[in-house]
Amino acid sequence: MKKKLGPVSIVYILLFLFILYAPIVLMVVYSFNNSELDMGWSGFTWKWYQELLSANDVKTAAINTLIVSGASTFLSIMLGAFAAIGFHKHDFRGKDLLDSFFYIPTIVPAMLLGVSLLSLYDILHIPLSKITIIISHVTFCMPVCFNNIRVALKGFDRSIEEAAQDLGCNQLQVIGKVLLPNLVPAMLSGGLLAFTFSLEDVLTTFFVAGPKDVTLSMYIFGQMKAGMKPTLNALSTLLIIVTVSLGVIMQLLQNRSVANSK
Amino acid sequence: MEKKKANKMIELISVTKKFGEMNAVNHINLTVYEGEFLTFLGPSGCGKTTTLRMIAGFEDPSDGKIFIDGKDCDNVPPNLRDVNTVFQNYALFPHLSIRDNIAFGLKLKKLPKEEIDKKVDKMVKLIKLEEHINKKPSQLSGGQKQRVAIARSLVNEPKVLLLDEPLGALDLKLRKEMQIELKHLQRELGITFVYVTHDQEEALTISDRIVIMNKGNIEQLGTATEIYDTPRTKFAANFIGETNLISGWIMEQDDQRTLINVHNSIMEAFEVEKKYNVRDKVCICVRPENMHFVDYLPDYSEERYNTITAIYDEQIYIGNLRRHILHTPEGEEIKITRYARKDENYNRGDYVKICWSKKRCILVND
Repeated sequence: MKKKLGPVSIVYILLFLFILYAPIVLMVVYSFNNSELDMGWSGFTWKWYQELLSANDVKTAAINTLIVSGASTFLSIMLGAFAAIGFHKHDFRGKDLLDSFFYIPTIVPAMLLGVSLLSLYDILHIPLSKITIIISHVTFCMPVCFNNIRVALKGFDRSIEEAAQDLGCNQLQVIGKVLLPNLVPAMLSGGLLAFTFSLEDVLTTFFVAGPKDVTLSMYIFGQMKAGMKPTLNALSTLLIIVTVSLGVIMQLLQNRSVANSK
Repeated sequence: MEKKKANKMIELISVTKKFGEMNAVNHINLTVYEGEFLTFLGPSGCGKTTTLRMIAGFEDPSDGKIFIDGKDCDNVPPNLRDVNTVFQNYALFPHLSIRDNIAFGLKLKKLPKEEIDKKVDKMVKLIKLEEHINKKPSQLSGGQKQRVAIARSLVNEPKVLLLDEPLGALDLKLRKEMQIELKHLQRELGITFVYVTHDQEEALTISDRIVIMNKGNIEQLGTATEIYDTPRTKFAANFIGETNLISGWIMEQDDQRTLINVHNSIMEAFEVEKKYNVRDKVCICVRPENMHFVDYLPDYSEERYNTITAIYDEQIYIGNLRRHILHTPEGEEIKITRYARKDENYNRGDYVKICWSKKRCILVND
């Protein structure tokens, strides 16, 4: 028997949600506000969005973000999938140790990761560029993909691979014709998560980006120094729309892959 | 002993599989003939599935040789062996439709599309799943999935079909139907089936020959009737059907008869093939339907029947049969199966004379 919620609980939950979401809602609302100042509503407008889309530095930042996040997501999925399949198919010494090493970049504070990567590039004399950002993003995005695919493989019936072999597949064909197609949902959902991680990262990127390689999140961060502009509200609103829809798609994909494996 | 003149399809020569220190399969020798339905029967952990997996190529023997259709299978991977396997949990490809599942093997062989379609259609018709051909495996019931798994293997026209407890996950009624379907399918196609099960009834229903395995060894190989009528070991006697085992030791043996001391009374057995030494410990194996009450055996005579006294426990009705449970003074359980009549009237604790024919006496090593 489930009890109905009492009035105290309802008030608590509403308050909880209000504190959680009010700033976001406020920001979205203000992105349509006709006033330059963040005080009071003075009518609806699209002008901040128009200004945003016509600003050249925003466009460059958006393109940079797409390149960096796209490339690091793609690399993360590939490396994660290969690593997960390797872990699935082979037993070797130090497997558990390696497993835990994969997760360290995700729990190390982003600033420390940035500092350490910067000194690494410095020691190796690698000039800072988009490539260094991509490498840095892969370090903390890959474990996300790896983990997602690993979980999907754990639930995958070994005898399905044996059946493929039995019906004429060699080892490579087993991976290509049976494993990978069944891992697509896990790869995509892991990839989407990795994409949002890469999209929102400021701290690590801040350390390893070249002078021209401003990403969207860095752009927002930079603009903040000059005070809160309504265009930033508009930009953040767009980013929220992108990340939330990615999150929804990911959830749908995961549900589908669970339903499929049953 | 083999009546058929069929070709040898699979030959196992002293095949052993070690997992660590344990011998999962222990130097077994076995020949499977073309077109026969052979069943490995045994309790879990007896090595039957391991043996099947070695024939399929999923496990390498630690020792010994496997020949399939005369070819040495040493280091031949599963994809290059002319056998196909049906797995207990179906192992259908979840991302492919039923049609693509069945066509999987043929597509790998790069057959022309028309030929693949023709073969798949024929197979789908055979397993009566025409209307489900475009569905995904997750939309089918257990029985339908298993049919697809069987079709997916058979469509490749393998020399041997290996089936690893394929009906284990189905409910009893469906299992019985599928057993008969499988038997018909095998007869129709003439493909050699090697089947693994722990269900003795299933083994008796579908097999031409049964291999009884225990602890990695073959206990007995033969037709259902051979094993039922003349079990070679205590394990085989117990595993196929029910049986009474009365233990004793050999007192004397000549060409005609064998004398066995059972708790200091002397039992006789005629025409025992195996030679024993005096004091060898044996069990007399009598099937419950061959054990009689002296009181209800019209042609009873002491010359023709071994007689002992047992203590009556209870009776159980099983359809038109009635099973009587007794025990010997030494505590061995005795079961007697008779057509249900009203005339036996024993009470718990009654001392009852029971007997079995000296001719139908089967001895197994204790």
